[in-house]
Amino acid sequence: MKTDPNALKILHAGALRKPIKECIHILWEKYPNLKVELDYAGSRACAKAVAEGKIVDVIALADYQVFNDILIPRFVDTSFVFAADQMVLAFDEFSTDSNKINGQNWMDVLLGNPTIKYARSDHRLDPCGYRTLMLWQLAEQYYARPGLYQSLENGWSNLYPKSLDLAVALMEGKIDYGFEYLSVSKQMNLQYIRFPVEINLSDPRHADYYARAKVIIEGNYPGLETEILGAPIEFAVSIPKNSNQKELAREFIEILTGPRGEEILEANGLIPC
Amino acid sequence: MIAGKTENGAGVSVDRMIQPMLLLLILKKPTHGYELIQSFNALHEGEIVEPGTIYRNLRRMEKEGFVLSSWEASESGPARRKYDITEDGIKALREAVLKLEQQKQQIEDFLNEYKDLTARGDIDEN
Repeated sequence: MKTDPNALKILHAGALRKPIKECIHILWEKYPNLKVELDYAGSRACAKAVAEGKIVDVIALADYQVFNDILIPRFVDTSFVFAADQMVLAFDEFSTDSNKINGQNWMDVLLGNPTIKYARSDHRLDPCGYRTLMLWQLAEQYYARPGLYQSLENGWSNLYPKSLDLAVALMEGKIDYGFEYLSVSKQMNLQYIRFPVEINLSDPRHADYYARAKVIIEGNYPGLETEILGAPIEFAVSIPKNSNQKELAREFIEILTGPRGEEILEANGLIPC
Repeated sequence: MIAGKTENGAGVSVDRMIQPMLLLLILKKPTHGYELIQSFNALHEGEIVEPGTIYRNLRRMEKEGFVLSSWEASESGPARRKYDITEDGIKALREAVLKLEQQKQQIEDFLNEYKDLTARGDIDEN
């Protein structure tokens, strides 16, 4: 894609699509002619693109740990935490057995009916993917159901590059259930089941318990695996060192993390923090 | 909602003790929301307060001028919004304490009255 050197370039996690767009409209109130180029992907895919030379002015990701793993200190100095979220199980009224499923029986419904299609996002590209694996590990302990993690991992039907794709697949009827962020479920008007706080990765009080969950992400070469421990979900934003529009990028981040941005985040199901 | 009023009219809510407790924790040690959630619930074991409620109360108190936030970078982790208490916040905390002392007295008076009635046999405990 040909890029405009004067445009503000924002690369963001798919889950942030709607709030980021709404914050750009606020920036346009001050700079009505400003060109903005938006690009999005799973957060790990976003970070890898920057590490491989993609030039952007703002990068907003679904996990600050992705900054630490891939971008800090070479491409980014620090990241700023601006929102929190939690994992839920999203579905809609046409999902098979949607009239039966609830917060207690969700695993039995998903595993008990072979016609049900449930999906997660790809843990190599998207934090929602490794957070789903963590949720399953924690659920195995929390519900004292040995083998639950492996059964859920063996049973999914579809794998998507990012959490937003899961929501779209649900709306299109390609899947019945998706392990998703609460914010994305609310933005897409999906129904959802909340998980207990002990496993939904929402609460800093349970940070030590979440850290019992561990996901290994395969590297390009043997020995280059990345180990990620469970932690409360926190979204973070930063300005890459090679940004050409640092002042505008700063103004955008001030909007995102300021009072109007907070209202937008809250309205989109995120918790500004 | 029960509120103590500061001189300039703004009040800190003492409902569920959330705002006074947060102001007290921030007065002891200016810190960020993540750590406040951890220490809040350690101090406030009777009732679990959701992270979203704590973040919302912090933002509300900042709008009202009781706390002030600034970004604080950490060596190994991300930068987070760190909260400091303001002079208005200290004043609001003091007024919340007065309000809570009044409530405490009301509760003690009520309990004493009830105990007296029970001791006199005016209330059948069965």
